[in-house]
Amino acid sequence: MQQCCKKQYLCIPNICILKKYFFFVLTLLLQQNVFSQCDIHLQGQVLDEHDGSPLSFSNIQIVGSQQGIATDSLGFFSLQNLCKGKISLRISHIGCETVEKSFVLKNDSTIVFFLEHHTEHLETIQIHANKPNELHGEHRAELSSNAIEQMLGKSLSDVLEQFEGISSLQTGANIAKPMIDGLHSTRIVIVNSGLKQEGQDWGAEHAPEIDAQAAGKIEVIRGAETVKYGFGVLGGVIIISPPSKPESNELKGSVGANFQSNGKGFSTRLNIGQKWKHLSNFAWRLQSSFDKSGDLHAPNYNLTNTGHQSISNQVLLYFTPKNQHFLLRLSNVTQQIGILEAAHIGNLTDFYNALASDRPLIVKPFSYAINNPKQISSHYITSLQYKYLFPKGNILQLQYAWQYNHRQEFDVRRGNFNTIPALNMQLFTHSFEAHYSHSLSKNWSGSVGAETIYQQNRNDSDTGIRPLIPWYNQLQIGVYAWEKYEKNRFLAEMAVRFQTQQLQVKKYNLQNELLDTLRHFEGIIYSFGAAYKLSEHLQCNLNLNTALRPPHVSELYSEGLHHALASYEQGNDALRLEKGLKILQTWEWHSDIFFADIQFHWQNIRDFIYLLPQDEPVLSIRGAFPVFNYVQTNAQLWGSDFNAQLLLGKHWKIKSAFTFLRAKDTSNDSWLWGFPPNSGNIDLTYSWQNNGNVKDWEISFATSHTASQKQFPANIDYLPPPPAYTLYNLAANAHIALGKNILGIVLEINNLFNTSYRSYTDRLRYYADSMGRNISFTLNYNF
Amino acid sequence: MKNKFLGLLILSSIFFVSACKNEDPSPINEEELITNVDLVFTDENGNESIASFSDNDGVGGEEPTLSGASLSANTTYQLSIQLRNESVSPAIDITAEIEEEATDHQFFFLPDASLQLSVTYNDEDAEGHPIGLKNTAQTLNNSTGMLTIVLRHKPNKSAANVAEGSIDNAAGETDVEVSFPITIQ
Repeated sequence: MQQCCKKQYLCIPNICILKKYFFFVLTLLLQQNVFSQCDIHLQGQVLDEHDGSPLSFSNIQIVGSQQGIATDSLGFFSLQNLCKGKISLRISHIGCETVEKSFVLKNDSTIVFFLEHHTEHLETIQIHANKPNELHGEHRAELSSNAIEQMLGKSLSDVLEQFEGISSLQTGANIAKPMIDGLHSTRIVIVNSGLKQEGQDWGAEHAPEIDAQAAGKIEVIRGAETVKYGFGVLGGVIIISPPSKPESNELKGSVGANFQSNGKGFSTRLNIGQKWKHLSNFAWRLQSSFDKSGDLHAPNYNLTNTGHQSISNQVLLYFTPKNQHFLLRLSNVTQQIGILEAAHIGNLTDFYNALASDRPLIVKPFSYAINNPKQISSHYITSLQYKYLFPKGNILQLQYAWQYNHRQEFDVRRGNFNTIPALNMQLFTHSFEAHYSHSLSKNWSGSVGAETIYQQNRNDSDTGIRPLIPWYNQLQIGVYAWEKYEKNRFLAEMAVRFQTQQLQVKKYNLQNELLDTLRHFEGIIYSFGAAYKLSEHLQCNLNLNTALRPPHVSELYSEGLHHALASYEQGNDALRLEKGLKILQTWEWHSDIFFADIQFHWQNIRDFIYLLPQDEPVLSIRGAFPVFNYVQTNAQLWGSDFNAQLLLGKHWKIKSAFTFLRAKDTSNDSWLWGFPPNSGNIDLTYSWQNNGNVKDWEISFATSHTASQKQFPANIDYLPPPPAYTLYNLAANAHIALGKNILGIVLEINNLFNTSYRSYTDRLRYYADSMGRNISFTLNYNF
Repeated sequence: MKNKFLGLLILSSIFFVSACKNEDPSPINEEELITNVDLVFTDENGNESIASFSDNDGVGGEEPTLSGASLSANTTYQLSIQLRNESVSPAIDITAEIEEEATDHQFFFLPDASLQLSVTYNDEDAEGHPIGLKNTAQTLNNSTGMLTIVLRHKPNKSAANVAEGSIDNAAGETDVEVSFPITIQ
């Protein structure tokens, strides 16, 4: 547990004596002669010895001076202008006791610190906001690999819901995509192992093809630094870091299994890695997971055809010759997801019939079978990352990546058409990027970079159905510069990025004439951030950033029926860039027993794109359908996220989080549709640690309340937002020592009282209740 | 080392970019689409009266065209339904596809209350349930109104009153829903 290491009196000797696990390797790689006494450069990396993941944002402080630095997101650090002779470094990482290490510095050196923290096994699932001893211009929160491990069997979006201000846009329980402050899809960016995930993310019912279990760490950032990620960062950036290089010659890793009562689901997970015996700068890691579930059930009925199955594999090869890092990554995620059978409707009459019924119109006995309608999607990534560490601490990073996303959606059709996907899209993405991070002086550091992304979207022509989005080629080029000034208790940063996008679209009109269009979007985005540490316990930061989002091809050129919502959607090729301006302010309080983080955000979005219902319906052979057109308006979003944690004595802990959000259409003076309602949760935890085989155990009771959305536009929706609901969860976990290895056990009961409820941000709320009680049992074995 | 690496990167990007197809997309044959519905009323003497709906480019685009039928009072008609896809050439006979999958389809006839017309099924699928491609239509007195026909895909044919033509418990998904103006004179 995190607090364990912060407070000495809570520590159990054999778990928390960090010195026992703490060792360092000092390698003198550079044989430069040092003439001046104080121009020695020390660089290196801080890693977790246990799973090899980089300990990002560890603080490295030179004892007896003000000079210090935080490691970057990959655990790298660089200290300049050091004097020859004995030096003491104080290294601290979130949740652990600060440790000092002294050694003699003779010349420029590279150093790798390994911090073993088995203690982190004791950690419950917990979000860290900005670290106590570091300053950030942006708002940042992260989830560690151990916490992710405990959530085996959950989708990426479920895992991300642990963060305040993040909710899920769902199409039933098994299709979920993350929303940051109510913004989703092309309004947020997901960076998966240093690479922008490029899937068919425009679709509300397209969950990202990412296996949360393959992540070394997950972070969510909002504000200044997001400018580095180009177009589309109105909401924020989700950063999924890969696990780092294994540092042991022995085979190390973990295996896990999970069982779930609702849907009779099971998942397995494997993560192993090893350093090459004969070639110590070479290492490999293999990750694999499998997940299968049958029909889920709501408290009063089965949710027919809501099974899913997914397979994910990832191979990471690390090669680290002198001053260089190579990382080759091969990954594949394949998902097959059933969609509630009752949600497939033919026309508006069917839809009204479904609305009138308090249970789905098709309910069948439990089955693992996944029938139409269903989705099968695969995502393949091949990437090669290269890093060169210059003697002065500057880092050059190059990356090439190829991504291939194949999505097939099957509909209920006549006869043989059932085996032919109704939608069959292939998206190819090539990206090349270069970044150069530099430290100009003791106080100034930053990075410059350039990125180019080339995409091709292709539709299979055998579907027998006009494609939802057309053939397109898209080229994006961006360049950015980011500079940071840090002195004592103050930090300021500024970033600017220029981005341009060329889009070529080929589309058949209804008369089967091929139209070839070229569109161009470009703009400059910038950000300012400042942070100030008012006292040992309190810090605040303030951010201002702009964001741009070009209209997506789907908003420009889609045309067709939306089956689950019985509506006819029409693209609009006159759409302009969305332009956002966001102000973010955060206050954080850290002390040994109390932590609190409150964030206020306000965002103005000019030319916000949304679907507006039209007066005239479109008449078809299936009757009349309401028509929705993509139009633009000016929008304002504001809200606040609050997160606090209090320790009560040795064993008790209270955690609480609240999210408040408003989204207004300022041009029409109405609310915007589909934004998540306010919500909050309180968790009470009792934990115990001892010296025996059972290292620790913990029981927690959690309650979460989601309000009813009262701020919604009139005359747009078929049903008013569902009523408020309160859910209760019970969880218990324990860690048992088996020799040197550790077995983790997690038992969770979600929706303890089997409450029937519907979520406003679930697109299947028109048809069925959300999932009922679920008992989940997880085993993780770390060796 | 670095130069070699860069060269390799550029080479591999060229390989990947050129490996992808860049030709024009092919037009889509919407073979599954139903564009035309004809209601053919045939009296005892073989005289036909036809109501028809056609929407050759599917949903959206051109407005569909609709024509009604004029029937005689107090007359018994054979009512058959014909479905076609005329968006492709040659046109596809969808009626035959419905017959092949008769157990998964059923038509429902919903005349306005003002229209003095009743329709009874005159055919059945392999399981003895009605399909509604062949029917008997009985007119009474002079009246006008709309006759709505609905084709349901995968209905619950065994549900109560569905075999008698009641749509209430039929469920399934609507493939066709068209209202034809009918005059009885």
